[in-house]
Amino acid sequence: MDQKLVVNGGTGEPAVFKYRLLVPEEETGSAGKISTIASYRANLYIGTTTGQLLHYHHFEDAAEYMLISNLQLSDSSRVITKILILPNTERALVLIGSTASVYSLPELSPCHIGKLKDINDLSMLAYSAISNDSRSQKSVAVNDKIVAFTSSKIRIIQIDKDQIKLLKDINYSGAVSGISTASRMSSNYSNLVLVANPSNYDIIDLKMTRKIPLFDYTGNRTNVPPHMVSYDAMDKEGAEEYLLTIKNDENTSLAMFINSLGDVTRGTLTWIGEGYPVGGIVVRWPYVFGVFASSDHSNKLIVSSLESLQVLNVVSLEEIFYGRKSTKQVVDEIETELKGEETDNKQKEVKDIAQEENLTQQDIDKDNLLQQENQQEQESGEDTEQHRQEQPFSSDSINLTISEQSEIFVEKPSTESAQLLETIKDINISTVSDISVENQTVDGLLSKVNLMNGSRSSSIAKHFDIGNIILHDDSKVWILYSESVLIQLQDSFIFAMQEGTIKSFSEELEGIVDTYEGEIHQYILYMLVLSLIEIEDEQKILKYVLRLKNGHLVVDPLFIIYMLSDFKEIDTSHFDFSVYSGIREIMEQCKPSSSRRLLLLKYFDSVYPDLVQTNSQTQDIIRRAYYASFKSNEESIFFFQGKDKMNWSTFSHINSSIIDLWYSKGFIKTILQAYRSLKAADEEKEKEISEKLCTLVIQLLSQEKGDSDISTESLVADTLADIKANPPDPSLYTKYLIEILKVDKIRGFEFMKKNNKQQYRSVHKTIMDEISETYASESDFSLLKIEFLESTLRENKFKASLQDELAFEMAKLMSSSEFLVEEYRINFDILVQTYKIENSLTDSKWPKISWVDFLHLNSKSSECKDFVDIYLKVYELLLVSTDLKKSTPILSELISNDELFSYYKFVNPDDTTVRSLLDYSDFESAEFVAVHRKLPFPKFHFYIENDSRRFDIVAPSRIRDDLFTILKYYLKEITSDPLCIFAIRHFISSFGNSFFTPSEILSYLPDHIPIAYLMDYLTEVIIDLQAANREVQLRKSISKADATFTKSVYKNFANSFENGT
Amino acid sequence: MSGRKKTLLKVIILGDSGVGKTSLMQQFVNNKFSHQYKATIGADFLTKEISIDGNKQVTLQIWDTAGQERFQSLGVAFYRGADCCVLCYDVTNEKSLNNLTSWKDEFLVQSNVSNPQDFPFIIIGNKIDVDEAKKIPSLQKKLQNITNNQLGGLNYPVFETSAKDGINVEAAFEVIAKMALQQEELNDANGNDVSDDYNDAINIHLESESSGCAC
Repeated sequence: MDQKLVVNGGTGEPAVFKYRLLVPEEETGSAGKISTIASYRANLYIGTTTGQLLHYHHFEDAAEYMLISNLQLSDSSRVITKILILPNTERALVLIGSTASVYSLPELSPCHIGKLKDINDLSMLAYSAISNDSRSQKSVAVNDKIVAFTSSKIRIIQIDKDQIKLLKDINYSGAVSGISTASRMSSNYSNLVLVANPSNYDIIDLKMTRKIPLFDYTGNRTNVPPHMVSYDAMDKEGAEEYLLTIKNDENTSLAMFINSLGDVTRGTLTWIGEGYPVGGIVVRWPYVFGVFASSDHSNKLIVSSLESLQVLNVVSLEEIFYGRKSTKQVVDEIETELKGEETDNKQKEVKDIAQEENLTQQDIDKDNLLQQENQQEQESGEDTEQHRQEQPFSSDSINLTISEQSEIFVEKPSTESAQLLETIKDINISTVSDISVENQTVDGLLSKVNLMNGSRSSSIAKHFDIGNIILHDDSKVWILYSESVLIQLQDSFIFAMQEGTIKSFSEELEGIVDTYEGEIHQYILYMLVLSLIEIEDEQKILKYVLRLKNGHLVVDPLFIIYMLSDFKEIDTSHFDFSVYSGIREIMEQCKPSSSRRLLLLKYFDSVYPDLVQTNSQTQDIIRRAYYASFKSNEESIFFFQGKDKMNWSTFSHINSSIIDLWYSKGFIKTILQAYRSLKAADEEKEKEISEKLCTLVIQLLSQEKGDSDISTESLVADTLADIKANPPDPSLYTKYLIEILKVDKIRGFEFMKKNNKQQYRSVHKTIMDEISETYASESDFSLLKIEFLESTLRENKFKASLQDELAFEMAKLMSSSEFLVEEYRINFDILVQTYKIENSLTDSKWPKISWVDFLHLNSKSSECKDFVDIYLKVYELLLVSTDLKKSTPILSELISNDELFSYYKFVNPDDTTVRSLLDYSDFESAEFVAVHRKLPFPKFHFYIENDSRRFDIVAPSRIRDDLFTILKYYLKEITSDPLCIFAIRHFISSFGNSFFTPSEILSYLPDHIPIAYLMDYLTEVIIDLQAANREVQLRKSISKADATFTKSVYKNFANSFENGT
Repeated sequence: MSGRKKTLLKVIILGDSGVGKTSLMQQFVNNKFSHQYKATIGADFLTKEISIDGNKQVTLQIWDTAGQERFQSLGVAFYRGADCCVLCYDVTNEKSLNNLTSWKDEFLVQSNVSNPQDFPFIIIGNKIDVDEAKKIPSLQKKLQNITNNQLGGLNYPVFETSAKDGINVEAAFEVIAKMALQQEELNDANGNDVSDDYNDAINIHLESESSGCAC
């Protein structure tokens, strides 16, 4: 579609122009040859040699111009030579032959307000709404003023919507063409006209009505069309200048440059050997485009520089427009081809053709000169239109002339030369008002691409290139326009990258970046930043990336982060980060980005947080990037506690993701800080944060995660301090302590002991349960657990299950090899033996002490006090428990096989218990069991304040049996040691009178027992007997008295009865 | 003429084709000399800033014109506003010496200067580096004759230079600059050049204004 035309830049960069076919041949082919073109807004008007006026319109939603009307304005013999657009009145003056008619725009309806006749050329009277003199106010034009060039006058005419008014006539003979000049003047309208007569250029001062003669342009009165082109000299602050073409000789022409005062402004531009620009001249600063029909009748577009005054490019229009070679090229190739067998003949033929063409051209020039002379002699009149067609200065006349003589035939057509059979068409160049050409390439460059997911979004606005240079042949119209600066810069960037000239290109971008606005400016700024990154000019990078517009950063901070950081560190999956597609292309060409951490931090320091406050997404990603750029916990924590502190009041999504980032970087210390801060700040999510913090701490303690900046010791200390200061819920508390206990049981246990508040006791118990397996063999742990169980037991009013558990725990501890060391065994055994000795029957002291009470009394002096204490506690619990359950199952497994704990078996007495107790020398307990079937409650107790046990009634016979067993034991002992007599005395005194008859006692006792040891018993028995005797006597006396009394009463009653009856 | 800055002095170099006008300009401005001859087509100019008498900075705009006769019609455009005219001849080409008068007259006619009698001209005989044998016989006498008889007897400064070797080029242009500056100051004193932009304009007849339509 669009083709490129690269113009050699001379001393500077090459300039790229593009051309595209605006109107294809098939639409104009039947309407004669194109003679003139004009444009107005989105309309294109094409006049033809057959009097037709084609109206094209460019609809917004269409890519191409569409033909919407074809008006036949005159008979087919008359040529439309000019279409002059009158923008203020929205009219068009259409010059057909020598008559100009008015049509309304844009639809070309005829306006019947009159016609202008005898016209050779028309031009707008230069108008400027901007005054150079600030003191004067210029009015806005409501009509259009034109300059009409006739054969005898220069006429200033005002065109209103409904009338035509002649303002001024100035005599001037033979004006064939002209332009109004000096629009930058003190008055609204120009006072100067640059006019060409058949031989000379002149300046006409309309105000002073005088002529300033310039020079001849015809090259000894040959027939060439004058070309007067105005342009703004950008090397002279935009001063208006004029290019005037001059024919020097058949092969050479030149252009002079003057200002509106007639002063020469620059040297001459020469086209040596190229002929004269018969196809027209157009200036697009700093280039001059001329279409030349050279001696070989091929059309050339010659591009020259106004700055260097050198020819830059010579382009074959045949080649670029039709894809075929120029005549000269074909001739050259044929010449080459013919070398060899038929060299001589063929060369001759071709040269003949070329010579013939040259001759023809010269002949025609001569003919035209004659026509011109004839025309000058003719008076203006009815046949002016016919004269116009004959004038050599009319562009269509020239075109026709050249067309007639440019048909070239080759007698022996080859594939190459067959093209010569086609008619060489004349091509003209001219300017029209601006035409917009959609530039999809720019649209593509400015479309956005998401760097994260690759999705693309189209540019919001379509972008158009503006062109006003039109080239046309007989039937086709092309537009030539500057390549978009964006595309040129895009290509230049890639080129500079490849050539290693990126530094100079970067300087060039610096020079132009501020000359553009809007999206283009932004795009170039991105390019500049990329180039600066490429050359590592950090100072300038910062300078440009910190540019603000309306208080906002122009360059997206995300782009900077992407370019300056190792972006892999940043999880941007939830960020919508897009850049221009063209910029993305350049980024791909750039060398792999190395992380410029320090530069990035400088950038962040500049933009964060003030410049990104309004954009939370940007703020978020900058924060992420900030943290991503840190290399240590210290840096992160410094930022976290400083500049970023305000953002850590909530456990937001971004904060969560930053924490994830820290995880990936191993900044656990920072995470701990963050969690602790968040826990205190975000009440709503305190639980969630606490859990996460707990999880992390646990992971650290269990070494599932690690951070060299965190020592286990400090972690434990900090965690315990945190727990104490901000107590978590029981569940987390438990988790913490269990893990802490695993790594630092001493501190853990110590903490639990110190933190033995009521609300934590059950928690501590849970903890104990959790870790009991782990610490089953660890006495410290068991002791701790026992301690907490005891507390719990007390709190729960000695709940039975807790009693069992505590007993079990203590029994477990006692049975553990770690706790029950040999030393304990020995010492305990010593206690047992001591007890047996001190509690021996040989000792006269009664009552004896029970084993349990003995232990308690002796534990303090024992070497196994800890063991004894637990032993006694277990005993106490067993007593209570057995009283409730009538069994002691919990200990069966732990202590059943260890003689050390054999005493515990007595807690649930059976028929052998008394005997066993006697063997254990615990006579006190044996006697108690004999009477109560239960062991006595210790006098010193740990848990139970009072003995609340229920004592069942024991059958006397059972009691007697057990007591008899005891007595027998005592009696047996007495045989070995007479001192045991005290036991007999004690027994008889205690139980003899209660459970036995004296005769039984006496029958059990051996005869040799001294009666003195039985005194107490006997005394008691006798007393009892005497008391019994007395009671009998009394009963008898009472009975007797009662009988006597009854007898007396009976007698009295009988007497009374008898007397009464 | 136009309101140029006072320090911009326009100098025109005239003379027959091939006398070395372009070389003189190139030698003075760029200190360059090319052995290859290339006829000037049209005109071009170079500028150089110089200091006059050590205290006055001026910019010389030196216009190199085509010596070929066919370009003389363009002269009017180039000559306008000149402050000094350099008439060049070739010391080996007698015809070029003889044509100096024509060039002077052409200049005065086309430039339409206000003070033709006082306008500063300077004569430069170039190519003195060539063999004596090739030089114009009795050059000084002929030159004196021309200045006395054909150039109105005015005492124009004459320099003999070699653009090739750079001989006398600087000195000649120093004098040119001084003369141009004097001319510029004279124009200022007389109020020329600013009172009338078009002192070469031709009055043309104005048709009586018509308020009617041109139909």
